[in-house]
Amino acid sequence: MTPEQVAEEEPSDDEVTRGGKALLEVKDITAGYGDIDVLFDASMQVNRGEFVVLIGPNGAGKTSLIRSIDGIIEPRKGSVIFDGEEVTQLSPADMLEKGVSTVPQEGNIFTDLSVQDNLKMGAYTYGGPIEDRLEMVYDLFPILKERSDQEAGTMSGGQRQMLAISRGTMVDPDMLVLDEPTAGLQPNLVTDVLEAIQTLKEEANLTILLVAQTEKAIPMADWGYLLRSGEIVVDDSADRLLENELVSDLYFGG
Amino acid sequence: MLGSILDGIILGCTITLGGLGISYVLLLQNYFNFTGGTFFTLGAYLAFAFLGFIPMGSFPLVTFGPGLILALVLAMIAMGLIMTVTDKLLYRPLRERNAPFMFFYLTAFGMLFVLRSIIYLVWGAQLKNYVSGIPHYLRGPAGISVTWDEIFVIVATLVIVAIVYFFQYHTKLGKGMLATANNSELAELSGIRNRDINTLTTIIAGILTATGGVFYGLTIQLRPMMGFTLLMAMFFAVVTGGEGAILGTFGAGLIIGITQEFGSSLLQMLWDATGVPIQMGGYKATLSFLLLVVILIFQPQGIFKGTPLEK
Repeated sequence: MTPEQVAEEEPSDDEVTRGGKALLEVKDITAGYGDIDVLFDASMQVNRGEFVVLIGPNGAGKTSLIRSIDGIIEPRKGSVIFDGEEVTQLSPADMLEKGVSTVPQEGNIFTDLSVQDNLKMGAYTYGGPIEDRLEMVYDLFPILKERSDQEAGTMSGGQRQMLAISRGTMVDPDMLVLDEPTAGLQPNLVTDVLEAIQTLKEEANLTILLVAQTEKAIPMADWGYLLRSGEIVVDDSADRLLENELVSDLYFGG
Repeated sequence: MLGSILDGIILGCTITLGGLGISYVLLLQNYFNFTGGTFFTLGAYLAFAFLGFIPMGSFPLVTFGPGLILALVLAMIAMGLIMTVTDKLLYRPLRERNAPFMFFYLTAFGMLFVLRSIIYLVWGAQLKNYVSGIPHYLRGPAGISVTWDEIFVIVATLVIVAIVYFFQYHTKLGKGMLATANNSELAELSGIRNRDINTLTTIIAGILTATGGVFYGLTIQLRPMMGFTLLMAMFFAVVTGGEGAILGTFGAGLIIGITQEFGSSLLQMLWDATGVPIQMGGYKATLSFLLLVVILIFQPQGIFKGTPLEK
């Protein structure tokens, strides 16, 4: 084995924390709006092929952390590294080009466009023919095929989330970032959507970073973070996250 | 009277093209570009200036030749550039600072006066024409006659509206524009770069505006205030036709064109018959405003909502 091969198979300490190679590293991010900071030295890591969940109470800064990663807001301090490359101040379109597709919590579909056009816009920068991508999401969410000509803004909450997730997947990203895709859904729909995300992860070979309000997402994950008042306070495997006292106290009401 | 309906259709074509320019800016950048009318005038005068260097030549039937087409193309390019530079220098900094929309309106108003002064300074106040030849008429029943120049403008407007419609609703870039208009942050997250789309929109607006101005100059005359006096009619077409609705703007443009020409002729007959000394020629913009107010009261969602023309 050449030294180069050794270096490839045994990444340096910088690249690895918990036994995998980091696809996304967020290092000491401080960010906010106007004069107010809402994130303080937040760090996290998502390894290639992992399902990572980010949880926290309302107002903890979860969405701000996601917006710092996807380029909507510029962090005041810290860095974002994707696939070994510094991407801290790239625009959302540049981040998508790098392979990070984000499904925001609000305004996550084009309400005035048809379902099919939403999916096509999701594949706006996709290089190949989109028919296979359409078939993949239609197989996962058949309702989208049935309603492909319907104006997206007229769909129900659950259908909108399915469309939003599908739109984010159309470009065939390396990593899908989902900001509370189950917010406001009925309990049975929450399970359906989470299962769909799990299926999508396997079928499309995706790395997932999921922001969740529901504890149902944690058992599906490999790793999890608890964000409280803008700081990462728990960084642990998903199994241990469920047993963590802080998680129980702060998030699930003790 | 039937002739005034035809005049209204021709005027409606130029209003539509100017209105579409304003509509695109409104759709993507969310403000009414008060400078739209003056850009319309500037486009027409730029084509006039280009004709000073280009031999007109001749086409059969119409009064103009290939020179005017070339001057039109150059005016389109020039207006695309001028509007893009204006956008980059004046409006983009406002957008990037999330400035209140009042700033956009004040800037547009300021630009209107600056451009108007430039037009007066360079070309003077006297009326101008692209061509001095006698137009050939096509004469129809009931004494209706139409020049071949006017037929050209109607046909060319139909073709342009069809092209813009096809681009908007059947191309990836056109749909990207609609997506950006609908949700600019999500569009950016989908890889549709807002900045590129805004530049493209401004160029298209410049092309359409210049074309409207040249068509007006060809069928009526070049006047320094021509775009300003049509501004209310263009706003009518945009507001009642539906924001970003190409066919709706066309339909509303025709309605307001016909209202201005036919309505003013009708009222003129009334004033003449009753001895009221009013010349309706100076009140056409008032007719546009009154009709706009009436429609906004009774049909605020636009006159084509729920019809195939809403797109």
